[in-house]
Amino acid sequence: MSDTPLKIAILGPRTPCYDLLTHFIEHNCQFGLLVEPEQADVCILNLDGFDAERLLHDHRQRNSGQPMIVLALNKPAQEGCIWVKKPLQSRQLMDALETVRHLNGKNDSAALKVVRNTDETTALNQAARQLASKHRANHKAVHTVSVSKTKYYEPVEYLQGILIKAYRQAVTTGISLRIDTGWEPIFIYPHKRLVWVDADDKKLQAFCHLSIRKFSHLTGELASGPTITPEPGGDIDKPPDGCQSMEAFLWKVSWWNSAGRLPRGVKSSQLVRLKRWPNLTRLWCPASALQVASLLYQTAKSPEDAVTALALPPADVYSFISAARATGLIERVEEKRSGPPSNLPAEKERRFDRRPRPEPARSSGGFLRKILRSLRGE
Amino acid sequence: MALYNKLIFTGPVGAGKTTAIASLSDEPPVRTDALASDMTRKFKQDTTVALDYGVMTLEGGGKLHLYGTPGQERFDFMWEILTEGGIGLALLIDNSSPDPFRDLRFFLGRFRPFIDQSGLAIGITRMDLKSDPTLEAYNREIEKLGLKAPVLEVDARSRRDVSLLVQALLFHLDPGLVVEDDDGQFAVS
Ligand SMILES: Nc1nc2c(ncn2[C@@H]2O[C@H](COP(=O)(O)OP(=O)(O)OP(=O)(O)O)[C@@H](O)[C@H]2O)c(=O)[nH]1
Ligand SMILES: [Mg+2]
Repeated sequence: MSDTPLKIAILGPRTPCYDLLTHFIEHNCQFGLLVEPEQADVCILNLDGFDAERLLHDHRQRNSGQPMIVLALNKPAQEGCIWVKKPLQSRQLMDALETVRHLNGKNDSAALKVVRNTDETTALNQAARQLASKHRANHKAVHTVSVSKTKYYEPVEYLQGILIKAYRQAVTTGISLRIDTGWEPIFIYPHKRLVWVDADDKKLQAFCHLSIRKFSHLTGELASGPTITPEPGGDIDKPPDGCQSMEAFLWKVSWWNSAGRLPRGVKSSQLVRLKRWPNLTRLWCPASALQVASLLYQTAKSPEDAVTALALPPADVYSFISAARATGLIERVEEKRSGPPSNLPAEKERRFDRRPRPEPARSSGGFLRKILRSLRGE
Repeated sequence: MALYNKLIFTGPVGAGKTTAIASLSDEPPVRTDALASDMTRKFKQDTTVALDYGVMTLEGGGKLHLYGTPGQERFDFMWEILTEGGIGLALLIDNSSPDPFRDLRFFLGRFRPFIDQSGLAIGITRMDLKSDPTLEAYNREIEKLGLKAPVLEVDARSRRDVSLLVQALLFHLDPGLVVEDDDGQFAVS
């Protein structure tokens, strides 16, 4: 008898938050069944989303008495809703759903197996990861980076600059922080080195096209400029579900803020070297990043010489350098050029590593290329 | 003369060699796993006792042979023979093992002559289970040994991860390597 599912509807437009909730209810909530709002026992709404208050108002007029769970950063003014504080945590969401079950008389301890048996706190996390891996599998998903005509940009004028400042502050104090720019709030959890924001890569990339000042002008939000404040709710042991690593987040923000330009401070003729390979299996990047990494790791090169040597579009090299510099992987090398500057035509097949090693001819560049093509083919 | 159409996967017991080869291979890989009868059994149900073999058929003809060494050191007499004709070494290290740096030093030492002749890329596995040591610390370790190589986080179960590791190895051999689009130049060379 009590196996009756709890019918749940999610209100509002398709956003990352919407997808995450859908995935969570379909895969991790054993008693939940997704239905249309009119048939639902309970509706869930992201109250910080676009036009959410009007949605809530309209929905309540049509379905008075239906329980409502609202997700919001701050306590909502609306009466009679069950509030789940964002950033979202599986446990709190499950508690809210169980409260509704209780009210509906569908509570039965046997049916209440939920995810609690396994590992409830990681359930939303898993959902987020599975959704993220859909995107991760496809490098090209967001790869229409617009390229700026200018050569340099000023990182402090962009999200990158605020992020670096907040990272420093969070790491030195050990206190979780919140950045407000007028866009989505960004939360930083230094103990686990995690970041949380309710935006997918597409939305983040769009925001990264603008300097913070331009964004404020356009939206009229936060005229006083961005703020970094302690986040008292930032539980040290339990960061919210759907977090990303601090490094990976800063990497892609810097890449997109750069829009093919170099950060002011790295001249295009300045010799630079990569201290170590970035963790490219876990970072957003186009395929050419592997080439740039291998070249700059093995030899110091100026950005413009790297472009020539690899015969790549300058934007690919400059954005890589911006992201690598923001994450502390670039070191400048003082001018001690050995030999003439290589602004000669690109020698694509040239060997950069000077270690004595049998000629690649033994396996032939052609063969290596074929392997590469097959690896990238599918 | 050796053909140089082999890629060697090595690393300690349970680092993910068999899994990585299966991720890349076009054909079901040949495995020589057996129920471990000694110490290894404590950690793993099955372990590779001879070698793993897989193959990638390349576009436009040709094959890349993938070999995995057995992880247990008592089989190390096979390692020399295996590396003959290899274009490079993909070393997998299990980050959750008790002393991953010891493993790193051991395998880099044992394969050093081959590494100096060919390419190297290091994949750190099981970082989802244990995030320490960090990739930065691995880089410091290999620098101490006078080596330079890409070090990447790899989940051997993910084809994309293993593929990126191998691509990193290829570019480490030759950063100038390019994949031209449709230039029709992929005849067997
Ligand atoms: N959690 C996790 N498991 C992994 C990862 N990489 C590989 N595995 C698992 O680790 C186990 C051991 O992998 P194998 O491929 O058998 O390891 P091996 O190196 O061939 O081991 P031996 O043959 O005994 O030397 C398998 O169950 C893999 O699925 C990883 O990054 N994370
Ligand atoms: Mg094996």
